[in-house]
Amino acid sequence: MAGSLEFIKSASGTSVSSLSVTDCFSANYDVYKIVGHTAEYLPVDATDAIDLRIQFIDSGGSIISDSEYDTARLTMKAEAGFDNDKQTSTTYMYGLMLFGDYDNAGMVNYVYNPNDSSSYTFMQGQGAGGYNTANNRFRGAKQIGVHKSAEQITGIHFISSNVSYSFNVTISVYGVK
Amino acid sequence: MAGSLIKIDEEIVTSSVASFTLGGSDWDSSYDVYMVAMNNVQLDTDTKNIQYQFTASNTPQTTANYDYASKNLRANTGFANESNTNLTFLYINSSTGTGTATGETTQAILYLFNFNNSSEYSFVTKEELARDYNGALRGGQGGGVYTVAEAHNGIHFFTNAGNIASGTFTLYGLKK
Repeated sequence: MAGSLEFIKSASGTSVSSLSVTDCFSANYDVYKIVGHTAEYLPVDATDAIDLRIQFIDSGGSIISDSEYDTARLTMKAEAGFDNDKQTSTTYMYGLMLFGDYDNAGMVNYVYNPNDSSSYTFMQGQGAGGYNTANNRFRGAKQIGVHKSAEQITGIHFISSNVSYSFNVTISVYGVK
Repeated sequence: MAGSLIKIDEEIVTSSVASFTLGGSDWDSSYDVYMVAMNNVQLDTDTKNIQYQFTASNTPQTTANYDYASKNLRANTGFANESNTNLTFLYINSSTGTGTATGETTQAILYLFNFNNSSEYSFVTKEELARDYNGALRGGQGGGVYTVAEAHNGIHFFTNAGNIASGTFTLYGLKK
C-alpha cells in the first residue's frame, strides 16, 4: 500500500544567510511536513547563535515580509528558566532552529492550508539546537505561527536572525496525503 | 517503496455536524501508533471549542476518567498552563473558544498510543494551534490519557455547543 507521507523536494544552503524552498506547496496536499537538518553554524564566535526565522513565499514568488505574522514560541533552556516568546503583526515567524557552536540542529514543522487562497496559512513545530557549549546552552523549542492574510502560499523562506552570520542547512518538504 | 504513514480514515466536514467518529468501524488494529491530522476546522458558534473522547467498540467513552495537561502558547499575551483530571472528555482547543470569522480555524496533530492494548491506558499527544474568537493566535502543546484499561478504536469529536461547520480530519497508522 502506498504511504501517505510523500517527499516533495529538499533545498540545501551552504554558507548562506537565507534559504528559500520554492514551489513546494501545491493543490496536491493540505498539510505539509517540513524538516530542517544537517545545520552548521559558520561564524567563529562561539558565544553567539543563529535563530532561523521563517517567512512564506507568495504565488508570485516573492518573500512575504509585510507585518502579517503572529507567532509564539516556548524556548526551553537546559541551563536556565524557559522563555515565553510572543509577537503579533511582525514581518517573520519565530523559527525552531537556534544553533551556534553545538553545530547541528533539527526541527520538524507542519504547515496547514498554504495553497488555499481563501484561508490563512498556519505553522507549528518543535526543534532542538544550542550554542555556547562551554555554558551548556542547549535550546529546545515549541512554536506556533500564522500568516494572517488569505492568499496562496507557494514556498517557505528561512533567514538568519543576524544576516552577517552564515550557515549551512538542508530543508526537506513532505506532503501529508 | 511504500511509505510508512498509512491513511486509515478521513472525515471531510462540509456542512454542520454535531459530532462524528474517526476510525470506529474503519479502525485498523494492525498499528501500535496512530496519527490524526486536523486541518482548517471551524465551528458554527463563537467562543466554543472542539472536544473529543476515545471510542471502545465504536462507542464514545463518557466516564469521568480523562486527565490532561497542556502548555498554551499565545501570541498576544503570556503563556498558560492548563490541566485537569477526571473529566468526561479531552480538549482540542484550550478552554478559550475558537471563532467563526475568517482565519479563526483550528489545526492539530495528535498521536495515539496503546489504543489496541486492552490491559493498558490509552494516551494521546497533542500539538494544536488556532485563532480564537478574538482573532488571537493560540496553541496547546500537551497530552492526555483515559485511565481505564481497555482497547479503543477511534476518536469521537464534538463541541461544547453548536456544531462543527467545516474541516478535514484524517487518521493514519504508523507502519511498524
